[in-house]
Amino acid sequence: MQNFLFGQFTADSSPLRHVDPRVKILAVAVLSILIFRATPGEIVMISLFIGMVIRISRVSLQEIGRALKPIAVFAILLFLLHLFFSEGRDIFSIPLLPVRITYEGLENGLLVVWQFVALVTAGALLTMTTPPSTLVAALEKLLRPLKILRVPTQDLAVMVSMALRFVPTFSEEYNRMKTARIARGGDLKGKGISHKLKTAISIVVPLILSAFRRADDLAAAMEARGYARGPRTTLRELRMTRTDFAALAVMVSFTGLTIMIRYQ
Amino acid sequence: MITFKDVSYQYSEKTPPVLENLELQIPDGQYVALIGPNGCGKTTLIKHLNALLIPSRGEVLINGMNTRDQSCHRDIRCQVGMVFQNPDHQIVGMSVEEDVAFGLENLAVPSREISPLVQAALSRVGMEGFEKRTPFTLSGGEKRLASIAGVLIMNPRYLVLDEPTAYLDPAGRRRILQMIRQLHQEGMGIIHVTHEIGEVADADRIIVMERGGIVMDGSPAEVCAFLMSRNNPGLEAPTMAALMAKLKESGWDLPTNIISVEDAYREIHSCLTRTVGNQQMEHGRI
Repeated sequence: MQNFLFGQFTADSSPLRHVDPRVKILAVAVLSILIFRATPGEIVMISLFIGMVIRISRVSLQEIGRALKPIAVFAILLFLLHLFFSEGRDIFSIPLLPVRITYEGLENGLLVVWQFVALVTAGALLTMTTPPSTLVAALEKLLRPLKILRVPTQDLAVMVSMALRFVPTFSEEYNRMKTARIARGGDLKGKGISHKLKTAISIVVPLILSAFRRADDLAAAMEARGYARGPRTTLRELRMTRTDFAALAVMVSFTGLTIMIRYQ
Repeated sequence: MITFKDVSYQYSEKTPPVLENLELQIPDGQYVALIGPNGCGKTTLIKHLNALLIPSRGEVLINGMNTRDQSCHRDIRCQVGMVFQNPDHQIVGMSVEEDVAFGLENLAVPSREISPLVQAALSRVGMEGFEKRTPFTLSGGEKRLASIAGVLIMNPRYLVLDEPTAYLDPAGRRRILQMIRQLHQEGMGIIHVTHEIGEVADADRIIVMERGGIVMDGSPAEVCAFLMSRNNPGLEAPTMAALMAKLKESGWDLPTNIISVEDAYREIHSCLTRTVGNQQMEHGRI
């Protein structure tokens, strides 16, 4: 749980840290669309662009690698699914057995893995270079137009903020429960699915109960400090600076260029 | 003035009342300590001060505002600041400054005004330089001080502290108690819930609770004498008072209603001076 890097703000000294989080969120959203619709030529362009952003952000490749680690299994699984179950021209097949590897399967598999890696890298860059509170403030600002539809955007932002706030709490609680189990002679490393399942239940159930208790206490503490539905302000008001407009311009130009190349 | 008028409270109709027919008045600026065994209703009582709980019967008035009136809740919560027992359960922000700012954000104070007030609140509790720290990495005492700063920023008239020294080491405890004394000297009303009567020796008044009611309300010396006269395992007499009682049993002419080490020292010192003086006089006569 402690090694789970995705979603954690780690790059405090990154130049991207000072870019308005709204610009970063919009950039990731646009990039996600481009990634999903990318043609082979665009794959190279987008990869180069992401590589350039990684370089500017000063986030090390090891950190990116650590963020990608938890999704490696899924990526490999997706690749294998595409590799073995796609119709097309054979590269390799075993006679009498339903095992076929096709050019199309290989191509689709590589494309899906690239999409997965590119998306997670973009997301990781956003969360690693943006403090969670700023991220929440940006979300609140971006969702603000939904107020017209009576969507409680401020409450939603506080909810997201509280969810993020609970991440270290859960991690701490989980480790405490694990240690308590080991201290009482519990075997957490035993083999067998039923043993693993029993161990997981014995930790997850008290973890959830404790989370509910903590949520109750936190709700009382928030109420005691005047939290109620109604207008709120935030410690830091987001304001677009010249750097933010420059970053936005880069993103718009890149998107425009990608679209132009596609429709030429 | 905080006023409880015949207040009773029960969490559900099936359970017995936690508070019963409580009458209480706390004037502005008073330092009130609330002691009592576990489950006697201390936390339930203080939750009424902040309108977190509304009495099942009776009324709680905070400077004339009735806690039943929902439109007054925001004002009540500004006037009565509450610091809960476990600071980990009340951390809202992901940095100390965000956590401290939370109350003002709720009051919709303009963003540009919040930052200097956060600085002022943190420096008031001696935590300058902690603004960017993650609250979860602070020590127990620092977390408690950050919680107090988060309440002080709303400029309350009364500060309610639920066992503020629980789980703290002696240094952390001293720091918190010194902070409370300082705030009281600045004119803030303090309502301090504790199990350790020794730490509220300088309170203006100590209220003893048992089974949802007030069984004693008086000065520290009076409450000390009251506790000495009873044998309740959930409510121990102060250590200093017990020591004085032992010395008195051994023939020393000492009062037993003593709570603080300083008072005990003074009494023992004056008793010794008297005894030595008498002995010298007797030797002189011989």
